[in-house]
Amino acid sequence: MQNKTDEAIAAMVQSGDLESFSFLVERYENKIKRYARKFMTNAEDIKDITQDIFIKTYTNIKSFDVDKKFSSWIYRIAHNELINALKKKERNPLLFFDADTLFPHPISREETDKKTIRDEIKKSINKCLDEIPLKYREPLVLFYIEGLNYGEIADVMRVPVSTVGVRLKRGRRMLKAICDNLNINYER
Amino acid sequence: MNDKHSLKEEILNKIKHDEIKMKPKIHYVLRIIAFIFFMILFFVGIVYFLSFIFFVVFKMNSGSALVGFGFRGVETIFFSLPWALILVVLVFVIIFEIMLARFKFAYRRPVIYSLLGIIILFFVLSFCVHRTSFHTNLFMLNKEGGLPAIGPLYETYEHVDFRNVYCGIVTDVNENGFEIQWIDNPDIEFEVSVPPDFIKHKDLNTGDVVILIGERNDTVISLVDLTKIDSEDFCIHRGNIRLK
Repeated sequence: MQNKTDEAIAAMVQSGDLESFSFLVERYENKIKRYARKFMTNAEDIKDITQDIFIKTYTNIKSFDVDKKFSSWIYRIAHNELINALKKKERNPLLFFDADTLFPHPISREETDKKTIRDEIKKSINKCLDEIPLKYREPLVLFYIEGLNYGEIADVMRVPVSTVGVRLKRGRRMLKAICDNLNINYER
Repeated sequence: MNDKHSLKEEILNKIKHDEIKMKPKIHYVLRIIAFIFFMILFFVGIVYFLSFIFFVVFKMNSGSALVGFGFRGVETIFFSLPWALILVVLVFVIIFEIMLARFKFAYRRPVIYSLLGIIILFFVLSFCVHRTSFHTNLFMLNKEGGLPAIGPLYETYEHVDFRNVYCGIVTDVNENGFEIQWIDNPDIEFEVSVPPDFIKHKDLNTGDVVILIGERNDTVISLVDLTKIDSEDFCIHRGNIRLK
């Protein structure tokens, strides 16, 4: 089972091998918890939402197209669950027509940061992320921590690829400003 | 580590005890069919209403005759547009755009692209439908026996009231102005007062059919602008509306 791809395991679950689902839980539990931790602080809430995400993944697994990437799909489910949970908590509905998604942006090229720079930003994100608004926080987490590319982030958040680029750029700028305020070293 | 195992075990237990179940494939197939059905419904609705707006303004009420007045004519058409229908179309377009945003080709690009794309598409399609006899046939069908559901729409918008626009046949021309008579009601006549030298410049003669923009005060219209037309279509029934 170790050699099988996520998509192959998902196909097995779809065809009735229900126990194989445990391998997907095993592979994604830490990732989903880490992702949820960037939006929530309460350990119980994180545990509950992680469980909800896996239950939703299982109940909807027959809608998953095995020719596509499983990671993008499960992060999409996690995104929806987290956004819904935050909406309930903060009573702050997200607008459909966000100005960032409305118009084209010139900054759409995917940035290929060197590994050392990425590691530095990753460290900064862990220290300063809480202060950053959700719409900039999420692409930072997905790109620098979860390792998704622009296209995959666009699929998870259902926003244009160029918007991902713009939000990452603004997010990094905010991150730098916050880290500077907190006297935390930020290399970029 | 314990926590990790417990989550996996918990979920597996729920699966084994049928506490959570996979939704069957048919559930998604039906959902997609319902989604596509509603998309088609909104698509057809938008094309129908938008082409109907074209039909109301340009065919049923010959609004294109007002284009001859230039900016003032366009302004008159604008203020006489069926705004309730336009609002319906706008709401439908927004719903359609939200539905479209579920597709990868739409959400991966800025909203403005898909929005502009569908607006252009709907305008072109609606214009094409407007050029056919589709609405004329429905209008005639409604006249003959009454159309269920959509019939009242054709009755309500049969006469659009273009503000301060009058139409008739010139019956007398003099130095101070001229007189016009309603084409479909010869008993109604109006005196039209005009600016100096206006008659000379417009080369107006008895028997000309004219559309004019002006302020009416009882039986006298103070002319702002005038255009001569060949077809009397624009004038039919229009005089009667103005007298209501």
